[in-house]
Amino acid sequence: MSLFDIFSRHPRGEFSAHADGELAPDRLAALEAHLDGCERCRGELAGIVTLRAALRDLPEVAAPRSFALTPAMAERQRAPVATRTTPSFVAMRVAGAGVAAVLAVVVMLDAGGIVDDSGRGGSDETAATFEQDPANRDAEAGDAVNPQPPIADGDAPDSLSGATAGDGDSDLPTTGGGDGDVQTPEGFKDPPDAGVGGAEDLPPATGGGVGSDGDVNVDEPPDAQSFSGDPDGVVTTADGGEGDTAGDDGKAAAPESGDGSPFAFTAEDDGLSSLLLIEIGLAAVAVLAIGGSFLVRRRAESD
Amino acid sequence: MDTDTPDPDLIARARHGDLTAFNVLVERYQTGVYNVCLRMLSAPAAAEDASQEAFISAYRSLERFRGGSFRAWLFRIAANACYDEIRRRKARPALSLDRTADDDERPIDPPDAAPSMEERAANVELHGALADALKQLPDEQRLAIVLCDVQGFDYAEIAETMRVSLGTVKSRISRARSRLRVILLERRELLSDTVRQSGEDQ
Repeated sequence: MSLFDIFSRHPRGEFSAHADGELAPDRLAALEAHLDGCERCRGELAGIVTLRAALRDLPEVAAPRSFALTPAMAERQRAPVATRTTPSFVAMRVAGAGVAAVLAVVVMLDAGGIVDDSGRGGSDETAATFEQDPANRDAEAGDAVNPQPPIADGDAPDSLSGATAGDGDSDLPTTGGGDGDVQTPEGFKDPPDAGVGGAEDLPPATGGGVGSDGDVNVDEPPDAQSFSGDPDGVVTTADGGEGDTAGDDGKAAAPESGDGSPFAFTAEDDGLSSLLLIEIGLAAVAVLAIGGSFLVRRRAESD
Repeated sequence: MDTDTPDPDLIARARHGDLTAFNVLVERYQTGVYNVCLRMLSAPAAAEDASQEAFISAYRSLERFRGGSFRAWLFRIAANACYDEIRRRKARPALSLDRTADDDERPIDPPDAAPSMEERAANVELHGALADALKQLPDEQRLAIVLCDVQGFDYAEIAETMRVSLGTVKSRISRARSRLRVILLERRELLSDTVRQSGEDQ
């Protein structure tokens, strides 16, 4: 027995099994060899043995009464099992799966709709859509680092009512519709990949608005809620993986961006943010349903 | 059918609705079940409820018993009833406190039929210390050690009861005992001469 074995590998984890006679023969031999040379471990083992004896000496308590089942207990309890636990378990799982499926469909429709609206043409042909790209990239760069909180989406519909256009200009010292230009070059350089999807995803209609709002989103986070355009930025970001090829085109067109009418399509924004709310709601329901079914299943398995 | 009838025979009859056969099983295991529940819950009334619940639950899911050790299967159901109760306590701590307070009026450990008054007092003290120490263990370690040392299960049967590997059983028991020793040493109960004597008397 080397010093290393004695002082570095005290097999304390095996003392209990040894005391219980549950140690595999090869381990038993190794342990006993160690014990021969390690007084400290012998002491520890003795302590475990003493404790074990004391535990086994604990008196059993007589049951306070008979737990024999009465016919009433047997009858009352037997029926519900078949009808109660199993179906609710199945129902939970079906519900969870259904909600997840609905959620998936909504997200896909959402993504598809935006891509279609903005026209793949955006990335393929015209510079028009790319005009807004730079600003959008800024928005996305911001989002990538700091995902848009749901609150902003939720508030968007409220702030849409009338005041939005004014806010766009007045609240932001540096970014009006046209000021977006100033920010865009940076936006290009910084997130070469993060913003790629913007070109395709951006609905042409909301272009100007989104462009300017995108900057707002990044540069002035506290003001984000007052801008109706934000939800677009969020939605497109979520779907941003689409257009790898758009990036280079976007750079070329960047200087022209930002002059569009910022709030021309607030109605559409409203629709989109509602959709987002629905998505968030469904996601919450799905999480609850899946979690619930998991719990139910664990209980069912453990019975 | 009497108290010597083996488990599988009784189970087979109980499955066909023979409640009397099932109740022979109940009588056979109720002390063990109740004691496990008592150690897990540290409260006689709650242990009584959990035990009854476990037997009712076992009867109604008897069809799901697929052989192996009936005792392990039954004690798993009892352990689950205890875990349910522990969860309920955590969900409403105030109520469980009330209940525990009521329960504590009844002594968990009956006085031993010990030969002398002194030994009896020492044993009661030791048992109280052990019971208190057990309460401080994590639930899973407590269940493992109770099955092992109070019920005398071997590791394989504990593994079957708790549905974990042998290695997990081994480490839970090892950790439980290490922790109990620390707790007891802190109280300076275990290494008192009386305790050593009672250990050597075994």
